[in-house]
Amino acid sequence: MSKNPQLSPSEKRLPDVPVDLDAIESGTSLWQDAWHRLRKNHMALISFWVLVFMVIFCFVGPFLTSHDFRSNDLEKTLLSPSSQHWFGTDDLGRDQLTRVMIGGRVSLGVGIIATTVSLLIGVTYGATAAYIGGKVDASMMRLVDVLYALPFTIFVILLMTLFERSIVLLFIVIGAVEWLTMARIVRGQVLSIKKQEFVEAAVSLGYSTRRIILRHIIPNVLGVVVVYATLTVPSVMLLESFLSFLGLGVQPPMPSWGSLIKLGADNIQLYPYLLVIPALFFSLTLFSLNFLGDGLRDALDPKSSKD
Amino acid sequence: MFKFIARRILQSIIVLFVITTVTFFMVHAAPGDPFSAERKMPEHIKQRLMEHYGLDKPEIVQYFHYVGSLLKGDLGPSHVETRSVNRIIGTTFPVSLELGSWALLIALGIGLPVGIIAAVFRNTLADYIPMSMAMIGICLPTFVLGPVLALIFGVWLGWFNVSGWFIPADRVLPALTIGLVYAAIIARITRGGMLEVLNQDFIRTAKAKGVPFPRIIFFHTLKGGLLPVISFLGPALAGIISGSFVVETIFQIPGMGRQFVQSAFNRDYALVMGTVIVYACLIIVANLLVDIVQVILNPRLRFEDS
Repeated sequence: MSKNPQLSPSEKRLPDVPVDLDAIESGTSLWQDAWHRLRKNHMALISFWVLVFMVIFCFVGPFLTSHDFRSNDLEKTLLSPSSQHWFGTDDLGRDQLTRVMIGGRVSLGVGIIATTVSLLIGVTYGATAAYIGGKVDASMMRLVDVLYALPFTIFVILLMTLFERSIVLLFIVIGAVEWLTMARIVRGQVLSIKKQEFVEAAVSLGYSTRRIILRHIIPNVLGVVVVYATLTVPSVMLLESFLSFLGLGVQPPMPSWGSLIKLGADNIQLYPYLLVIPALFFSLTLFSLNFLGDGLRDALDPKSSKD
Repeated sequence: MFKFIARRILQSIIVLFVITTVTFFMVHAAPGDPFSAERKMPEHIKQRLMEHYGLDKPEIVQYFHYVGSLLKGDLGPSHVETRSVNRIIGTTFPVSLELGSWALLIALGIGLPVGIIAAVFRNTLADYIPMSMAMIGICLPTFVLGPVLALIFGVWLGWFNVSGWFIPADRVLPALTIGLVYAAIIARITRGGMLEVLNQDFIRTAKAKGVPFPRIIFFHTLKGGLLPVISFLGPALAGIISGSFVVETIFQIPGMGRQFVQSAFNRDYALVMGTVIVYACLIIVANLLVDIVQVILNPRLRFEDS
């Protein structure tokens, strides 16, 4: 330490910087840091605005069109796009623009709700396993491993065909599949945070367990949870559309992007716009969610960003 | 290592047993029966049919009967078609196997070289361009890619038939639909795995000793760098199977995927059960093989358990 005797204590001090005491108290939070990093990521920002547009388009749009997504008009079937019907009409003469909007509402809605369900199950399960630890943890995660090995799409299809198809069953089935990854991630995260120095420091400072969990562990897990929730939404939407494509998801006359794409796929020879438009909306949403998720991961969890 | 393999085999048998049991009771708990989907039939005929297939007995008796014949390799008669389940799967499985093999070949044939090149020429255009395309490929689901490929190459360009499974050219679009998505994923995984090995000390040592660069890539890096790809092959197979449900529906291919969806619609208990068991066996055997190959290739795993 004092191998440099000619250095007086005052010289060893760090250069004076105007110190804002409030800033020290609050610091720049994880979220402020993340926001700064995210703002520099153009792809993620564009994706964010695309998603905002999609949400407005699907949830507000149907109120602005003068058509109903259910009313058939057999004199106007399979019309090409026109000023009357921007995206044309489908095989039953329904306005395709309105149906794409409503379909998006279903797809996005299922995506968000089923993700929330899987989030609740996954976070509780993973956090419990990590918190209790030991044998309980080992056997809980063993169960997750076994479930992972099961051919799940096959079971999902089975469930959706055998039982009364309803949107509630859809939520349950999708939620039941998607929570596994979340449970694994949260468990790993809690375990690694539990061991880190700042938690030890908080313990040695005499903070209560409640405060440590609320102020130290949860905020740090939350970042990863937000990232994976963003990435779970597209995979849920994919599963929902996959089922709807096979005719096993939402039931007509309710459309979903998956069932609209199915209708388009059946009519590609003569009416390609029936395929191209919903496919475009669906893919754009999936891209945006994936890019935003990637951007959020880079922003919230810089250590884990790919290479 | 033999202990490890023995334990994994035992585990696989247990998982298979659980799948069989769960599927059996799930299928039987579902409302409706194989004969309710058809036109209304007289009650006494339905009674005779139920008796014929043993569906009138208590479920638990049916279960033991089923497991008994399953152990002999007999998947029982189809409840809707006149053929046995073994016969039906015997005709549909080879079709799906062929489709799946082509898809896997495309996935590896494109994914591996692209991933390796991207890793070797990291942060150049040879990395950025294919990797951005891979990102798009990962986001594109098979049920979008399939119809789009059919539209472009089938309808607009007229190079291939839009559907059917008759001439060799009919294999191209379905196999591409499934294969391209997995090519994208495999390219990303390969790149990641290769980079991780390339950054390790023994590669630097090899470079310092003057080992020629191609030799470093093909002899030193590839073995370790491809480990993540091998462990992905298990999930990839499961994904190719679920891809086949969609692709066989789009392109009207008489394979097991389409037949599975069909049989579930018809509530053909025996056929559904048989298909699920065949799929489960496939996936479990594939995972088992992947695990064993991994232990052989990666000495570090051998000591983990002891």
